[in-house]
Amino acid sequence: MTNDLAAQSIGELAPKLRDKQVSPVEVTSAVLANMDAYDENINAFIRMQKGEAMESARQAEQEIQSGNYRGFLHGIPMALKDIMYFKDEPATMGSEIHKDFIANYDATVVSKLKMSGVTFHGKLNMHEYAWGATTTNPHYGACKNPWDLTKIPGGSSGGSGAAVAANMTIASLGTDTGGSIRIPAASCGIIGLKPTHGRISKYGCFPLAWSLDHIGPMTKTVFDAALLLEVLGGYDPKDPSSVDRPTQNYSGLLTEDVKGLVIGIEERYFFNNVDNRVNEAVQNALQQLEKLGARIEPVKIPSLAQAEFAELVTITTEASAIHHDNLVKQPEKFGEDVRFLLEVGELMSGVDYVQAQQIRHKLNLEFAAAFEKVDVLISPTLPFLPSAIGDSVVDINGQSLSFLDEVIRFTGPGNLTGLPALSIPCGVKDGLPVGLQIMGPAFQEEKILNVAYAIEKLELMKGKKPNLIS
Amino acid sequence: MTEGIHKILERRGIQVPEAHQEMLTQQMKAVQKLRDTVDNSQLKDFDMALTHVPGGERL
Repeated sequence: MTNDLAAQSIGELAPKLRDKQVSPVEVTSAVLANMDAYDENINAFIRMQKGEAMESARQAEQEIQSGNYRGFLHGIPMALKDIMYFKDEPATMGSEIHKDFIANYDATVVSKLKMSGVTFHGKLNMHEYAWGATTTNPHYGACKNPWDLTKIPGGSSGGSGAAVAANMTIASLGTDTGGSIRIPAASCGIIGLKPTHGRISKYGCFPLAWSLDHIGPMTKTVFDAALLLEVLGGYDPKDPSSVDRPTQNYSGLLTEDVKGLVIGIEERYFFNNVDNRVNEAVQNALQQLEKLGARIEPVKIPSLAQAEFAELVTITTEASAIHHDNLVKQPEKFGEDVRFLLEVGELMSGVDYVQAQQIRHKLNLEFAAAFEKVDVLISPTLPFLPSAIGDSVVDINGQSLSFLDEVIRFTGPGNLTGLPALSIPCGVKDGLPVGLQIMGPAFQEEKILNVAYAIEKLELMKGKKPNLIS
Repeated sequence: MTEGIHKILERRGIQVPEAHQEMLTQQMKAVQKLRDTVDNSQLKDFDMALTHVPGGERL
């Protein structure tokens, strides 16, 4: 009973909590039991907050019992990436430098979740300062993939991906600057939604690269991602990049109807040099969608050829500007990989940065033109299966390639353009999950959520779970 | 190239570990390859579309 509760989604638990069939204390206890059982091996948590969580769960229970049910998130246990500020609590950003930093205000996303009655039970491991995609953290230990403990969970929100996949939390939030929500979602077999840039406020979240940063849900189901977007989306004057566009009743718009849907495929970029096993899983999903009445349409986005340059230049320079002072004064406190990337950012020129922004604008126009013809674009989230911890190269069909170059190849364009993108599991190959990416037009998250919902209903995972918890 | 990279970083007050020097050289060669993918004749006066809110903060 206990573990069963922790395995459930928000959508399953919320009506039971509302109707007092289960209590927040029972759900929180189940989640804490899984943390005790699995986190010694997985290392998804930087800090566990069991006492606070039980206290918060008891309070939620009392409120619900006395008829003050606040809605779907009331009494739901969540743990967030340790980069989002909670007033008077530490936020390490996975770093040595910020290990004693105490935030003096709540991030906007945190205050929205608090208002909704969420029970927080810990802070999750991440790649140091979100600047990397392995979550092999030199200060808090490597986070491991629940599907195979020798593999990375992806990153930078690797703790969030691993904790959701191993039922050590019900849902989480991650941040995404080059793919850091979608990469761990794909690697851990969960849903990861990067909304449109400006849709969810970044206020109170430590930046990696302002113009590319996003916050988004990492969940067990598409419904949960839609629900969290409803709660977290909306204009925030405290975030300079927040956009005042109306949000939708995303969870209520999920129909799984894809009849007449036009799916764009940009073969030259998004299907080039993909592990055969990953390609097979994605092609199978596309065929299934066609059977449901969707149509596949090839599209061309020529500036994608320059996307890698634009992403690398933008992310390295903005990150190096943020960390410049510490790189000068206390470089030894950075992990080796992050220190190296910060040095790289210092070597880019002003012209590089401006050209990168020109390419971004061009990309945005070309994507917008593509979305005149198609409803969504589909691709693999990653061109390879999760790699072994410590590997700096990946094998793609016998070719040995740089992990860093390959890992953000398909996710980076979503950050450059700010367009909404979601990763959903579409199969298991050699015991590891495969992620499929859906991109959509700006501020039309409902489109990508609905396609994801249709894919979820196909049950392409065939009920497979990580070995550790099955 | 290695020496040039080292000098640039040193001028910016950054001490580069010896182990990083060759790695940085290789990385910047890779960046140069990516630079070569940028077709400047297409970009030239193309607007970079960077926007700021006049008046600053919106609070």
